[in-house]
Amino acid sequence: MSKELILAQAGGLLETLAEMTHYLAGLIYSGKSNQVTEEIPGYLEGLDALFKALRASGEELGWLEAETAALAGPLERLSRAINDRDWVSVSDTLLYELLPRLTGWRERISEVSAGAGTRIRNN
Amino acid sequence: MREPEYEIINGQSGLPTVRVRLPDGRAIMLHSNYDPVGEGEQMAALQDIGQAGVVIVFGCGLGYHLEAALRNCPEDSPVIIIERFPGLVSRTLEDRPHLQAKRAVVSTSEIPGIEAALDIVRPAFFRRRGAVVIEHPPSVSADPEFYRKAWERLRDSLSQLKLGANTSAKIGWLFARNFFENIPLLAQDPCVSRLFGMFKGVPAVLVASGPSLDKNIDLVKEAKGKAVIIAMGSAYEALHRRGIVPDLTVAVDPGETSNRSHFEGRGSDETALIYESKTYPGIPREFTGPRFSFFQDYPMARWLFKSIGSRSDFPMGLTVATSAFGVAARLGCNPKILVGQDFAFIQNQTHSAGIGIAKDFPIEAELTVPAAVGGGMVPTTHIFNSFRLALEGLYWQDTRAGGLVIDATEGGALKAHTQIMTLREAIGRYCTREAPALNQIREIWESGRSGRGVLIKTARAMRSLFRRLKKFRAKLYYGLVNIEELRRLLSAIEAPHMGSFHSSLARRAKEMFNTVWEENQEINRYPDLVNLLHLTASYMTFGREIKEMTVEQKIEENGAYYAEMLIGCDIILQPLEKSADILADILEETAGINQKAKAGRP
Repeated sequence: MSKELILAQAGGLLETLAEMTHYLAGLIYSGKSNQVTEEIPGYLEGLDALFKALRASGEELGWLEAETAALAGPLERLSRAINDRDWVSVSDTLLYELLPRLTGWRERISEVSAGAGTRIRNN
Repeated sequence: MREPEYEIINGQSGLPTVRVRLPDGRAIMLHSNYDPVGEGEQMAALQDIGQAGVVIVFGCGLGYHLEAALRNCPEDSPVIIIERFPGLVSRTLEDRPHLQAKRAVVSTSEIPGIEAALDIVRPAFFRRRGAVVIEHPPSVSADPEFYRKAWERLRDSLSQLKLGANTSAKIGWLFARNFFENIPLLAQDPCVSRLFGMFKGVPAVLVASGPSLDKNIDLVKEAKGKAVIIAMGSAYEALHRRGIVPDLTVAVDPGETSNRSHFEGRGSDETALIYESKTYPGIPREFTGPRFSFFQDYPMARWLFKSIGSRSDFPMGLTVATSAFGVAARLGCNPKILVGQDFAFIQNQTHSAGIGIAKDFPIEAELTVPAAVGGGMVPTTHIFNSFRLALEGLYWQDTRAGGLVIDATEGGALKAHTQIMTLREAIGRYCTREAPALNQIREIWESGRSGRGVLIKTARAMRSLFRRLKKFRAKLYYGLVNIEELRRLLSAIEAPHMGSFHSSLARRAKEMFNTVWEENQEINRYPDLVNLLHLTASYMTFGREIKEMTVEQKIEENGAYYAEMLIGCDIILQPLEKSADILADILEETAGINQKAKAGRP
């Protein structure tokens, strides 16, 4: 699979994850926390798939390692909040800790994708 | 097990939030650390409040969602807050005083208090808007068991309110007719509040006519003179048949048939009657003993208070049992010994064999509830059960205030917040001293009766109301005629092949619409009469039944509204005129006596 396609897939995944974050927060706000428990594994799988896709792209993503390390804290807090059924903290972590990072990644990936496209055309 | 505890902390946004420590060691947050205001807005946006008549809040926290939710709600709609931590409600109302600037806000952190909270806002349920429940999910998740029980209690209490509303809708005309027929006596008799506090620490034996009464009715006699014996409605008949004379009897039933059986020919100078203003008029009229009135809070009563002076009201609920318990509590009686209060069937009997119409009650068990005596379950109906739940709220309030409620029914349903005892044991333990104030009841009645000035004022108010209602009735009648004409024009416009006639019809419909609109404005200029007529109409709605309506639906709705009020006028006008005549006769008679007295003066 081409690097360009993998990056496009990663961009799509990021968009889905952002939508899912708002969806999960909405479930919490409307008191449907049981559904959140069911949906969270899908959200985490999506994050995992995103990492894999980005690594598979072979692109120079030095920032990714740093970002992955920075995610450890929020993910741990998310896991603890889910275990404690502390749904406000779950939505806080999703909306105010994870979502801004995912939005930042999306911008970077768009930049990288644009760069990769230029390099391919130049070759 | 430890109780959950909360602490208010400052979040990352600088705004306060709440951390709750749960008994199992977990800690959960009630509001966002980052943006509690935005979170509250989003939570409120997910709840459909609209034009709610009463807002019931499950979980308040620090009120972020409440602030947002109430923004789109009528500013006079009262709010009932059910919150596990009362300190959070206090903090919310301290920080957000505007929330209660124009509306009543009542709160409770204890489940039996829900009934009392609903009672405070009861009149608001009688508006043409629904009751809406809004939930704060994080608060609910802090103590799901508390909110589950609160929800069950609320559901039962609301169904009782609905029962009351349905009763009003079905027999509101009877309430109205009885009230206006009772006015000559209501204007003369003192309010039961004259007796309040007279029996501090004296036991009350509250006798109802459940089937268990047959077991221990004769023992009631032993409490005579040592307790205030209070008969509830039909129990008066059962006691009378056994030669037992209660000190007080409470009547609230508006119907004629059962009351004739319970009271007719059973007058006693030794018993005082305590009657609600809408009771069947034959009871106070023919009662030979002292009479004391009491009033539920409703517009007709408030109208009369302008003439006779404001009368103390108390949360009496809908039944004779809740009223009698309320009276006993206000008299200062303690303990309150319940007899014949089954709220269940015994061997297919719903009432004591001592009341003549016991066999007339249809018996069909709808559920079973825990038995008070001997374990197991007893059959009952949803109505009986809702009566029991309402009373349990009063028992709870009473025990919280240091009172004691003894269930000496010796059968029937188990009642929360009571001590079970046999009647013999209760009398032996508590009815040991003479109750000194009992013989003063008649004196209080005689000295508390209204003077001529009050009667003159009442008679004038009645004449004035009669004239205004007649005028108002005419406006309603013409309003209805024009609505009918507008309806006819609108349906004619819809018909095909109207050709050039269409524009002429449309012009006439527009003119008629303006007339109907002006008439509506005119009718709304009589809010006191509209309110006064509410008991004759079925105004109570639950859920969001009144939504955005089309013009046709609004016309339809207005037509129904006018028709209900027109019927209300017809129901009221006749007894109003009759009572005004009776009062005029009384005034003439007393004037004659006064003149004779003057003439005889040396």
